[in-house]
Order: sequence, then C-alpha cells, then structure tokens
Amino acid sequence: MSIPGRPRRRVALSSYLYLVPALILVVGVVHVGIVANITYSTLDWNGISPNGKPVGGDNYLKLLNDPTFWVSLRNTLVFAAATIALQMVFGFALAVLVRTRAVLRGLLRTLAFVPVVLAPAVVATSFRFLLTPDGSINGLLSAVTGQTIEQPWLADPSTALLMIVLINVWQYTGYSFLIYDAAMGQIDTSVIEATRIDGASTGQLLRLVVAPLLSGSHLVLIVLGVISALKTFDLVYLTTAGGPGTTTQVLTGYIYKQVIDQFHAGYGAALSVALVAIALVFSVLQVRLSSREAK
Amino acid sequence: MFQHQRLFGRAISQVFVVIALALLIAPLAMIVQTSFQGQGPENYVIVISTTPFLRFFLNSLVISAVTVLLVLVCSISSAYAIATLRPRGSRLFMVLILAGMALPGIALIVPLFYVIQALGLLNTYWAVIVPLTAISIPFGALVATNYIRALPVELYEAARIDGASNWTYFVRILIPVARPIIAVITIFTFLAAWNEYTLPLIFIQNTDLQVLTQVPTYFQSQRLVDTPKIFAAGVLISLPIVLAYVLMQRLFREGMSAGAVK
Repeated sequence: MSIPGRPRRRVALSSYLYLVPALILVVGVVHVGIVANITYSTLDWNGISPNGKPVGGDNYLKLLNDPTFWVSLRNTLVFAAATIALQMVFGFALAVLVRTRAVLRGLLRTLAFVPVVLAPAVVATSFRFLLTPDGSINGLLSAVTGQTIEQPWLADPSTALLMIVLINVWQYTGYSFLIYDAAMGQIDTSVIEATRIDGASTGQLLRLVVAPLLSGSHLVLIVLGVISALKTFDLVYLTTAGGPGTTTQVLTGYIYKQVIDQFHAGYGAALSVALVAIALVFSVLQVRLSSREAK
Repeated sequence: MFQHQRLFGRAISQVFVVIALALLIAPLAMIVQTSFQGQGPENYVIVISTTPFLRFFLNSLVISAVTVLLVLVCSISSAYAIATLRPRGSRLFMVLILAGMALPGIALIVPLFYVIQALGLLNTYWAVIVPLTAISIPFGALVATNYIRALPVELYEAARIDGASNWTYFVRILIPVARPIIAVITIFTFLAAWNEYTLPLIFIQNTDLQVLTQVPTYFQSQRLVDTPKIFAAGVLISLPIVLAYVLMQRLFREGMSAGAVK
C-alpha cells in the first residue's frame, strides 16, 4: 500500500526544484547580503582586509551624529517628494493632452516615452555639459531673453538640487504619463458624457471625475516613485557627485563615497542597513499594490 | 475623451502640446547638435575608432543577454511553483523572493565587494551579472506569478489528467502560453541591464570588459574634456535602444507598466 503514496510525495518534492534557481540567487545575494551588512556594520573595517575590529554599535552612534547622513536622507526625501509630485502632474496633463484633438498629439505620445528608455548615465552626463555656464541651455536662455545668462546651474548650491530634480522629471514624466494613459483608457466614456451633459467644465471634469477615478494609479506612482528615488545614484553621481559640498548628496551616493572612495566599509554597511530598512517598507507596499491590481 | 472642445479649449490644448513637445525635444536636439560640433560627423568616427567602442558594445550585449536569460529561467519557474504547483511553504518562499523588490543595488556593495573579491570574480562578467540578476528576479517573479495565477485552473488540470507530468506541462504548455509575460520581463530586464552603470563602475576596472555606459567617462578621464565626443558617444549608446522602442512601442509600454497596472 506504500505505492499510491510514493509518487505523490515525489511530485511534491520536485515542485520545490522550480523554486531553487530563484532562491539561490535572491537568498544568496540579497538576504545573505543584508545579514552580512548587519555583521559588517559592527566593525571598524576597510572592506579589503580579512578581519575588522569589532566596535559594537559605534557605527550607528556615528550615523546618528553624522550631519552628512541627515543631509543625504533629507535630500533623498526632498528629491522623492519633488520628482513624484511634478511627474504626476505633468504625466496626468500629457495623458489628457493626447486625448484632445490637438495636432501632433500622436508624436507627443511616442516622444514622451523616449527619455524613459535612455540610460540615466547618458542623460546625466549630457545634462552636466548642457547646464555649464557656457552650455547650450544658457545659450538658449540668452537667445530667448536677449540677456547674457551664465548661470552655473549645477555648481550653484541654490539651484543644484532643483536641477537634478528637473533632469529626473524630464526623463521620467513619460513613465507617469504611460501609467495614467493606460488607466484613462479604461474609464467608461459614458461617465464622461454624463458629466458633460450635466454642464461640467473641463476643469471640473478632470478634478472631480477623472482624477478620483485614477486613485489606483496615483498610489502606484507614489510607491514606485519613492522606490526609484531611493535607488537613484547615476544621476547624482554623474552630474554633481553630491556637491557642491554635500548640498545634493543622496543616501546611495553617500554609501558609495564611504565604501569605495574612503574604504569605510563598516560605516558604509551601517548606512546600507538604514537604506535597506527604508526600502523594505516600500517593497511590501509595492507587492501589496501590484497583487491587488492583478486581483 | 476630451474631443468635444470649443475653439478656445482646442487652442489652449494645442499650445500645451507644442510646449510639451518643445520641452521634450530641446535637450535631445541640443545633444545631437553638440555631438556635431568641432570635427562634425568625424566625432562619431573617432568615438568608434579610438575607444574600444565595439568591444564595450559586445560586453553590454553579453551581460544583458545572460542576465535576461537567467532572470527569465528563475522568475518563470519560481512563479510556476508559487502560482500552480503550490508546494507547502510556497507563500514563505514567495515572500523571500519578493523582499528584494525595492532594494537599491548600492545597499549591497559592502558584502558584494568583499565576496566578489574573495572569489576572484573582480573584473569578470559574473561580478555584474550575478548581482544584477538577483535584484531583477523579484520583479520578474512578481509579474510572472500574477500572470500565471490569472490563467484558468482547467489548463493545468486537463493536462495532468491527460497524463502530462509537471515538467511536460511547464515546457510544452505553460512556457508557450506565457509568451506575453516573457516578452515583458525580457524588455524590462534588458533595458535595466543595458542601462546599468553602477555595478560595472564598481566591479569592472579592466578596460576590455567595460560596458557602453562607461564610454562617455572615457572622454573625461583624459586631460582634455572633449564635450562633442561625449555627446556623440551618448547618441551612439542610445540609438539601438531608442530604435528598439520606436519599432516595438506597444511591447515597451506593456513591459514598463507591468509592475504597476495589469
């Protein structure tokens, strides 16, 4: 009588085999990496020698008293809030515009997404040179205003972070547009017709009917926006490298600087643990959202 | 949806469309224009002939292709287990895999740097491929699981009643049926791998193994910063991916929105 039971068990066991490749890579790199980070964060270590000096929680104490950490955290959050807000507003506006009868709306739909597929490294490097005092952007502004404009946009502490935000907005508004465009396509047109017949203006229609119907998209864009802001590195590293001073430094850039430039691997690990903790919250949110959307 | 406009409304939306187009195009036009300054079209010839451009192109291609392949194998097979086979504990395994979803790769550089160095993998493709694959799997597994869950249960049950093993079902039925989501994961992963900058920056110092995103830096490391060459390199790097997007717009849109809307 053991025969009927046996094949079933073999089938069950073989089911686990399909999970093995993904688990080896994800657990091996991500989970082991996080645990290792926690261990390394208790060391005074340069990242190369086989052993560091145990220092307990000193790196975390240092972190709490490190003004650059707080500036980087603040910049990361400001960057996240500003890029998300602007990209949502502009993305929404573009999704409305391609639904009007304006000429060239088809071209707009295609072009809006072109910057999204470009490498952030290429976009950042290009804007770094376009935004120099004698760069093309000042040239264009001078031509338009008739004055000589030689603003060092990325070297001036008062405009540097704003510029990084705007470069990101230029590159990724197409993504918000894509999400809104897909969601607007699913709105029942009879709802719009009815509102029109009731005499609503376009502004009222957008504000009171369309925007609330897209609440799922708003939420998705906020969560994805925070995640991509936390990951942002190339853009800052290749435009200002966190400068002038630390005015545009972000968490990823600060970790890179501590670990790769200054060999403070133990302290870098403590910074990484802080970043992982923030990222984990948003992993959970994204999985919740995405699974809910799929039902 | 907003097509019943009065003349005034239509004029306003037309103005906004033109402004939006100008803002999108202006930086692209400036990049292309600058790339022809100085020696003109020669800039492009110089970028290709004086840098290991073709070598970098090949390196990018190898790294991206292997990453895509690994991510596909790992995400489709784990999604199959999680969504269809559902062995005991598969929920926990799913949570384990998805936990890496929002993780910035830089948060792992300390352990990665140490391990990659200890294993002698510094300056190899694997130093980039392995971490890139690991952080790309969670997204792939998530969208693949959502896709497979939405398939009718009868598909699997009928195949099993007809005597197909789990493996036969996986290879002969599921993979062909899952082609749309395979395309989505391929595009999303390829784009991320092709545009990756940080991992090669940190783990590949050997010029022979560098990737395309490093080419602009190549013209800055020399004493003289040669802006037109940097822009020409940027255009050359971007052309294949922009061309691919224009030719496969629908697929790109689906690929890029898959994690957000279904």
